[in-house]
Amino acid sequence: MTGSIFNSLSSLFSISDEQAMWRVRMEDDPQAFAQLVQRWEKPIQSLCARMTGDLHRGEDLAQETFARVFARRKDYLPSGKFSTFLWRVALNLCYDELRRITRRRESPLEENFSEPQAEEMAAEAATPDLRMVEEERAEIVRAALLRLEETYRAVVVLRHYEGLKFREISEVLEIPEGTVKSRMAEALSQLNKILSHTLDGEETHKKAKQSERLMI
Amino acid sequence: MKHPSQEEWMGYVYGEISSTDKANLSAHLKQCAECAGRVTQWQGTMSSLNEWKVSGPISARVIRPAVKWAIAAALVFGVGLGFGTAYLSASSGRTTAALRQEIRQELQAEFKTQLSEQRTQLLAEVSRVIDDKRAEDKQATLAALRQVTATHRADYNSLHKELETMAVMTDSSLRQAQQEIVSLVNYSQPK
Repeated sequence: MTGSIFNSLSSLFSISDEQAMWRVRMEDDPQAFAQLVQRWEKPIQSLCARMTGDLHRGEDLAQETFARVFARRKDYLPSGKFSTFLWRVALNLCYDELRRITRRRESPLEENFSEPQAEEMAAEAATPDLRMVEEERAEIVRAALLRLEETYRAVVVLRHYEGLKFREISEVLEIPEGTVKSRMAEALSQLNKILSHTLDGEETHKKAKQSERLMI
Repeated sequence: MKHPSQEEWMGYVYGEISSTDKANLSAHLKQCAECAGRVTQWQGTMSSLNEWKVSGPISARVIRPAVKWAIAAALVFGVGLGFGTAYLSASSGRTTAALRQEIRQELQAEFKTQLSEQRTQLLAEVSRVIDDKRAEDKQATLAALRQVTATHRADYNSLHKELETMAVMTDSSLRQAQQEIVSLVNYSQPK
């Protein structure tokens, strides 16, 4: 019963993003708006979490994004894709947030995690735990991304994590597609440097601990 | 040797490339250690990036008002489509699809003219639901959905009978169906 209800739902009520947004713009249609939120909140949360390096902030920013989309519904032009409009609103909010954060603090973002990371690394050397290793590596990647310049980070998040094509990214960021691609290449090279430096450090640390134990 | 640009390599590593170009670039990689080194490095980094996952718990939210409307209408449509419209299309000569479209349009027109206050309420409710940061358990959502449908079995059956006895879709019958939908939707779910 439940299954068939959901089937009828999607066949009767799924309209395109552009149609939905048009209804939001013209009629303040809450149903259409809720549909857009349901469809897009996870990807937008993901984008915002990766841009700021903070899951909870990501959720907050996603909410703000949809609130802003609704507030600015009169500005929406159906000549473009809704998603392009949405990504752009979300990204701008992320940039604003990142600017706020760096103004407030003196130290860069990734220093936040350095304390727990040290503890985790010590614990890991003693009793290697698979999940802990995974979490550690995720943490390293998170920190590495935060060291990229924002616009480079945006390209990586949109292309690698959200799977947008380079052409779509160029529409969101309003820069030529070639520029998007060269930024991506630069970003990957920078990340490679950062990651190999960090991972090398970790590997050396691990090997040192192992040889210590062997000698005893 | 002429090397492909880094833009071309990005198309290559991210699969945004024609099969011809892909073949050419692959061939170049076999002949050029320098490019092969760069590409391998990039692909290594791409693989490392995959180690950071941010998918949270698969949280189906509280049944949003939009879904409630849709469920309510689907119950009406479901009945109509399963039984009534076959009868209706035979009698009126119109296709099921055309009838479905007509029903939907008339209902939407009814919604527009008579339910503007509920719309404002819905908008506020949507905002509140969006403000709610707590993730709801998927099971709880499905359980609530089953509870809604089970509790409204009586309403559903009377709706069913109502539509069954309709010989032709009249204005008054549509209005009644619409009222049933409204009462279904306005039922507040137990928490």
